[in-house]
Amino acid sequence: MSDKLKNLEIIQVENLSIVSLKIDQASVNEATERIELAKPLTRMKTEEDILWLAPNHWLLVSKATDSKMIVKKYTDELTGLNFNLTDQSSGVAVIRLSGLCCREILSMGSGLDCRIDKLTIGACCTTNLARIPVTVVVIESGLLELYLDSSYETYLMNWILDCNRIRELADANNHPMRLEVLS
Amino acid sequence: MNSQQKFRQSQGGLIDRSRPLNFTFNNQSYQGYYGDTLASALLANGVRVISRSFKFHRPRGVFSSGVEEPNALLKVDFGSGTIPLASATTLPLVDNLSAQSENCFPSVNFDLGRFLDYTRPLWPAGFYNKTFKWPSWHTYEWAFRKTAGLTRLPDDQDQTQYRQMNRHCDLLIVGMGQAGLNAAIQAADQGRDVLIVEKDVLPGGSLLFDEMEIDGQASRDWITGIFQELTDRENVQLLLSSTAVGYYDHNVITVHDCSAKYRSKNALETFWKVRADQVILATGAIEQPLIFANNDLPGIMLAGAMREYHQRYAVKCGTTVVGVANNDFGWRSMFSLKEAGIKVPLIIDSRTDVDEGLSAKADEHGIEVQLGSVPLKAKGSRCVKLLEYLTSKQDKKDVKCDAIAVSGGLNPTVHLYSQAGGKLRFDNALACFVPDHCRQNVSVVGAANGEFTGLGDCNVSTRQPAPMSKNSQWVDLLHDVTVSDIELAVQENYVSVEHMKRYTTTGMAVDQGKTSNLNALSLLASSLSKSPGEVGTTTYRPNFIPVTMGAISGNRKGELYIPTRHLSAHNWHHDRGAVFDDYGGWRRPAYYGKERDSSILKEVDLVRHAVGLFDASPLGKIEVKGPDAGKFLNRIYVNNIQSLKVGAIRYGLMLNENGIVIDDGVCVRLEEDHYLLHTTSSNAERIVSWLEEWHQCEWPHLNLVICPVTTQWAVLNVAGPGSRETLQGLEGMVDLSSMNLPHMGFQSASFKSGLPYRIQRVSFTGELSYELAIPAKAATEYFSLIMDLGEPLGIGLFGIEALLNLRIEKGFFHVGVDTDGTTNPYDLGFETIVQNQQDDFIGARSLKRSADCDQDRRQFVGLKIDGNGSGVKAGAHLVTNNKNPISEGFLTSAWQSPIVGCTIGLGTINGGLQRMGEKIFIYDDKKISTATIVDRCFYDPKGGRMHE
Repeated sequence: MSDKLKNLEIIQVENLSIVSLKIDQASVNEATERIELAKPLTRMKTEEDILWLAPNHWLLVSKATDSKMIVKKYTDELTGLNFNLTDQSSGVAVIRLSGLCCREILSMGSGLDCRIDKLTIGACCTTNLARIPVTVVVIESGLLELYLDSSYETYLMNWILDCNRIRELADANNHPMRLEVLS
Repeated sequence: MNSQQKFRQSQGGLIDRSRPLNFTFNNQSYQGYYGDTLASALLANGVRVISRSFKFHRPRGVFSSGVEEPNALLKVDFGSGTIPLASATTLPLVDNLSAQSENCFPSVNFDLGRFLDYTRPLWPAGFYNKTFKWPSWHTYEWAFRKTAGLTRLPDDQDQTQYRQMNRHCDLLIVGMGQAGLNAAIQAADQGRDVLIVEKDVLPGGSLLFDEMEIDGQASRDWITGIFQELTDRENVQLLLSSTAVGYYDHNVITVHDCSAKYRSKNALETFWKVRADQVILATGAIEQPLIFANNDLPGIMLAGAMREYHQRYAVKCGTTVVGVANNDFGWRSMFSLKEAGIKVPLIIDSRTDVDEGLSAKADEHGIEVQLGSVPLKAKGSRCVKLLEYLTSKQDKKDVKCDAIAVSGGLNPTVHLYSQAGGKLRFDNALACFVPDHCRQNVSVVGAANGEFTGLGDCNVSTRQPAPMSKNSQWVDLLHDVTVSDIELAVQENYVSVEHMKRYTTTGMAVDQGKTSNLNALSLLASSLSKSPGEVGTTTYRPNFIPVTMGAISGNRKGELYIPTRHLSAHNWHHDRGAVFDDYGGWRRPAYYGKERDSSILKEVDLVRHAVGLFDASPLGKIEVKGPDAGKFLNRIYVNNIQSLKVGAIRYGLMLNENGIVIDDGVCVRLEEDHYLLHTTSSNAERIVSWLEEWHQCEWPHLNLVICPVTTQWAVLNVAGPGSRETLQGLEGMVDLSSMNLPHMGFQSASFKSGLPYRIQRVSFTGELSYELAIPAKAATEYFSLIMDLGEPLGIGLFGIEALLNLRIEKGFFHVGVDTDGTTNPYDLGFETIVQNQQDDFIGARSLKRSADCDQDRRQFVGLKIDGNGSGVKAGAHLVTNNKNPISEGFLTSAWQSPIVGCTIGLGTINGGLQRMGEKIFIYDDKKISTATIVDRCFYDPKGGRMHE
């Protein structure tokens, strides 16, 4: 589904393979020696997109590869270590926000520092957006991907649309200041 | 229409005379100009009595020109909803605004409530603590409640939109006065990301009425220039009409932005949460009043406010103004008024010695000066007419006037600094509290830091009452607190400033004591023979000014009020007539159909006699994997989990450290080192956090990972005699016979389509029942498929209400409904499980306490309710003696069961397990029913149906 609005495009991204990789803390060092995983607060683009969620937790995302294949690939790579790969293709929803106002929308519900020089391209961080946990990935300066529990997808879509309505109202009614009385 | 504006000067002011604005006040039409505030427009039209005081209904007029206003609080309608208690001194005048006085009847000019003023000696501070005791306070309560309060909440729909914004910046500057603007330009030059906020509609602060030369320019030109320069900078954001209202840890400041609020259509308020690396407070200072008798009469105003009304709005606040001051700032205000052509016959100053330049200037203006003099009493009914004062020679004199300008010195606006954790110190020379030190990265500049220009030596001793009756010398105008009230508080030993505040209510409510706190604590200090610094201040708390609830809640209303979770098959259920309700944060089908009770009965019957399909997707699902997973879960559950065979299921209880049941559900051993836990739907996230906490904080050496998978898997619960036959029709379904999949059995496989699934045979209904878990994206498809397969068997959908009733018949408890924060496993009849567990588990130690094993504890039982049981509600008390009802427990669940043939219930009652067969009463708000304590399983006690 795509909602094209002024200065903002909202797309619910579907048909992604999403696999959660959680490694026992004691095995993390060895795992990162065997395979390259995203560094803290970043997203790494390899065959799959690897999103850093926590010091021992990553999300593996792919449009092309089936989640079973991803599970098999990483299971093979990490054999002998303590980890769990769970298919989350149904459990995680992805909403893509793009346009001039995508950061403003994010700022309406999250305490993240959304300034362009702070939330840079490739950043991946989990925040409370509209009071639900959401992982924000900066694809481009004006293109954000939001990863969230799929049960909240309807709620977050409604929230974004409502925020955008209020934002447009604020823009349209940019309050004329009374500065003219000074002159 | 009264368009005379007889107190408006023909020239000057920051108003646009070419843009007249019409408004009404108490249904009378008036006119003001663009640039006015509501207060300045009212004053220009000669309106003196604007409101009535809170307690004694005394007539009150405009007292100040800013956020400190204690009197001019009106009900205002811009066309987008009514705002109660809006401060007229800060409201920009807009066309067609309508304002009403509050707390008066029948009118503000003649208020019957004034009789309270004439009986004032009967109502000192805290009177309600001592009087109206006989026969009881409640006899009089209604009358006080009717009288109390300054306003009523508006009935009309609020049309305002509310936006919330988060903003990070390098530097936040609060205040666009000279100090704030200077700081902003310096920081902007350094390339810092600057946010600067100003509560006024215009930048400039006191420069808007206290003109001076800055950098060789007139102050207004300087403001315009620097503001434009800042506006042009990309690294600076300026917010006008935006008040910083709260200062929290980590330099988080909240800002209430009303720049788009005051209009009839598309009104918008924004609530900013700003996180700043550094904060500069340039919040200025607030002029303080002086204390004398009747110092609350309309026409008595702060001297600086009078000057502002004159300079900024071209409004005269009176024709003959007497100045009463203890500092140079007050004198300068009087000179300004005189220069505008207003009669200023006299300045009274308690100081015996003032700067020669001031005296000379007073002479030059022809103003008589009385040094070492103090005001005694203002006289007048609805407006001041005369001021009595005591000269330095102790002669009593008077002077006629229609306005009195008072100036008791300036007090830095330190509210935000104090909220930030900043400490204050009393400056004797300035006679006020100034910032001292703060743990946060905040600086204070300008008047907010006590850097006053032209204040001179402020005479602190004049913050004393006049030498006469003290019960008409007002300290807090908003709450009608007098000097005698504060003395009474001291007399009654409320000598801490916090206690004095609460006893007298001084400094509370809308204005938060901005013009009363300093005088109140000076009086307290004086009564205790201490200095104000020793007495200290009360705690400053957010918000600095009133903030609308809408701004705080933002768009959290309607369907966005709380985050709601939706089933993956939500629309599918909706199309089939589901009536949704909130269950633990999930929107779930309560029942299907139009009529609740009949729908639920039908669904229950379906499960008992045919086959029902239920969406159990929210059921909590957590995978725990690793070599130590079994050991870990053995400690988490009361039950022995390690002994569970691969592919088997065990029901388990989770306790907290106090041995209280916090959750229950079944646990599946998927593989040797891999478990799947099921929790109650509403507890899923809490239990994940609970598990992580125990793993990360207590047992980090255990090798395992915890993965919540609740929403990955949709769960389709098929229950009823026809459930096996229905599910067996799915292509690729495992053999569902009891031989292959017995009760509490589990298998995983894939359908012919390749879709993986997990199936477990568990029952919460008491019938043969399967829970089929599939990837949630396929839920809709499989719901339809199962409905088709079950059609010959009469399949139907059932909602959560039917499920909850089915489990009552089976006597299954529901955590959080039948249990509370005191229920342990013994109370639920799980002694055997506890006793069989040889290993340690969370809560084990607590269960050994004698109180936990007591047989008289509230225990979980069944209740057979006599009669039809209509009106029996969960939550009702269980009592033995209905004449003298003493609660022995509660009815926790109840329903009129067709299959049992009567109303049945579950509940907890003292020693219940030993009281089988006993008759008790169910007592609910004086409605009494009788019931018999019975075993809690009402249906198929041997479990033959679910084991079939």
